[in-house]
Amino acid sequence: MTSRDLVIRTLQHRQVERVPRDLWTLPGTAMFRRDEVDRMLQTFPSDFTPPKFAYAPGDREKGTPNVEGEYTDAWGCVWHVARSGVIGEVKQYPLADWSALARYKPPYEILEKSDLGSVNLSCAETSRFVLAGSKVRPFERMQFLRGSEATYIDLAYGSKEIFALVDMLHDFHLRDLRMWARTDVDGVSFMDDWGSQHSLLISPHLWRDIFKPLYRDYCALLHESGKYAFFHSDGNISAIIGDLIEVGIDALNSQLFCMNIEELGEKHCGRVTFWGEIDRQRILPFGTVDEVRSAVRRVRRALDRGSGGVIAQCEWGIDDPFENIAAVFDEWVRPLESTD
Amino acid sequence: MTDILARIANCIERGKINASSPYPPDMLGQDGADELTRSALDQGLPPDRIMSDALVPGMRAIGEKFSAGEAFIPDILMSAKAMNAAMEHLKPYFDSGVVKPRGVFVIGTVTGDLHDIGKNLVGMVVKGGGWRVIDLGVNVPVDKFIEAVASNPGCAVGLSALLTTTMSNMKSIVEGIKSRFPHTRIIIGGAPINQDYARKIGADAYSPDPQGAVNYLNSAA
Repeated sequence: MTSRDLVIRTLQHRQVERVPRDLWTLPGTAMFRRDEVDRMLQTFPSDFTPPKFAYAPGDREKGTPNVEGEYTDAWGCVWHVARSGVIGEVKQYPLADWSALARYKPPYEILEKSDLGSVNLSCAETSRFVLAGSKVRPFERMQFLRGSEATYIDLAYGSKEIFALVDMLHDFHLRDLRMWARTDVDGVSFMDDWGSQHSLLISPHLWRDIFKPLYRDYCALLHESGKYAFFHSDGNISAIIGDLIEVGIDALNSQLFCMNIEELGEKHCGRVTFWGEIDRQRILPFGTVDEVRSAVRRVRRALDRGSGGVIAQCEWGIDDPFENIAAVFDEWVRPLESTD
Repeated sequence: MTDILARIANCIERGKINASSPYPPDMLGQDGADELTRSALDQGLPPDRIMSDALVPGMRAIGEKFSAGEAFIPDILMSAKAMNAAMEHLKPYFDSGVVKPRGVFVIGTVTGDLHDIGKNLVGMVVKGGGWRVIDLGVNVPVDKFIEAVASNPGCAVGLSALLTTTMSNMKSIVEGIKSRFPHTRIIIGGAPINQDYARKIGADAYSPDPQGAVNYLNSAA
């Protein structure tokens, strides 16, 4: 069975010979610990691969992302990076003043000028599940364009400008996904960060009103083209996981350890594929190997019913010990003890 | 008279800034915290009573709802705007010393960390709790915290960090402050932080939410 088959069977909640693996690395890990990452992937090969592709540069881009200092992204958002390898924060917002909205255009050039010429060949040449990372992140992008506090206040007021921005971004994001729909990739991922440590950032009611329809459209578009929809969100999003499943998310990466993992398993096993994770706030950076293994066993007991529906995913942060990450993937293939 | 204080508190809890504000929709056209605070002062209500019996309860109510997961960030931000509208009328009394804050709270996001929304929410709710808040901003080195503590004897300090890569900087800041000003109360918070970590680095308290910070500061004052 190829990696692609393994992932697809997992997404279809069918029995698999082993749980698929997916290693994420934060920018700094890939930048400064390349040899270790390569060693990890030699020992625990990933079942996923991105297509051979890079979005075209945006006309407004300046500087280099993830390098200490400042850079401007394709949308004109100016990022301040305090430490190389650690994603910074947007500190200058193109739409800080709503008067700029009438003249503002999203960076369509990064879609229109993108060269998809190698995508399908790269899909054909691999036996891995090809997962494309899209630019779709509507809530995040609103904050990058307006500022976080302004965005939250906009949402409270429900002004016509905020809805105009939602529409503008939705159009861009649909175009992005239509681009991917025309290729042979197996799945497309998109994201937003919806949770704080303990709850949603906005009310579930507001989320369902404004953002749920957007995600429904994204999933429908992807499914119509035979692609799987992968979604990531940080934080405690237990209030909307049912909604995400309802709109068609096939695989969900979320911070399990902010939530009641066992309850998630009871409610949602068999309905969505849990795309990881293992706690990246405490256990992976600061835990012992035994604590890492214990965390993996907890996730397995809660979410792996022996019929797909779970991916062994974790995110390798810049300072996380090599042995902790290795322990994650090693523990996923060990027999699950009856007691911890 | 107490009725107007209750109405101010309600405006703050609900985020009703002034009469022209369209938020919240069910209070459209009604006077907000702005007009009502002005009116309360005109009626001769002491400003410190307006603070303690209207603004503080209003912010406490929304803070408690937020802690309980019944209110969310947009709600707190609107409440803070309503509170600020009320505070504009009380500011001269604070400046002249007629109304005294409960204390001074110095807050900042630690070295290397640029995130501010959590810090800002805590600052707003603590201010609404009657404290004078000095916000040092983001990426704040230990020296700047020490300078602020030196300039504000008896203040409490709040440290915020969102990343596992920056939370370790809290330790050196706590140590730096405590070595010079050992009696300074320090409370920490942020996504990767917990009570164990606070204990480990010598901080005095941890709070997962803004109202918890106010409750700690009030108990420690």
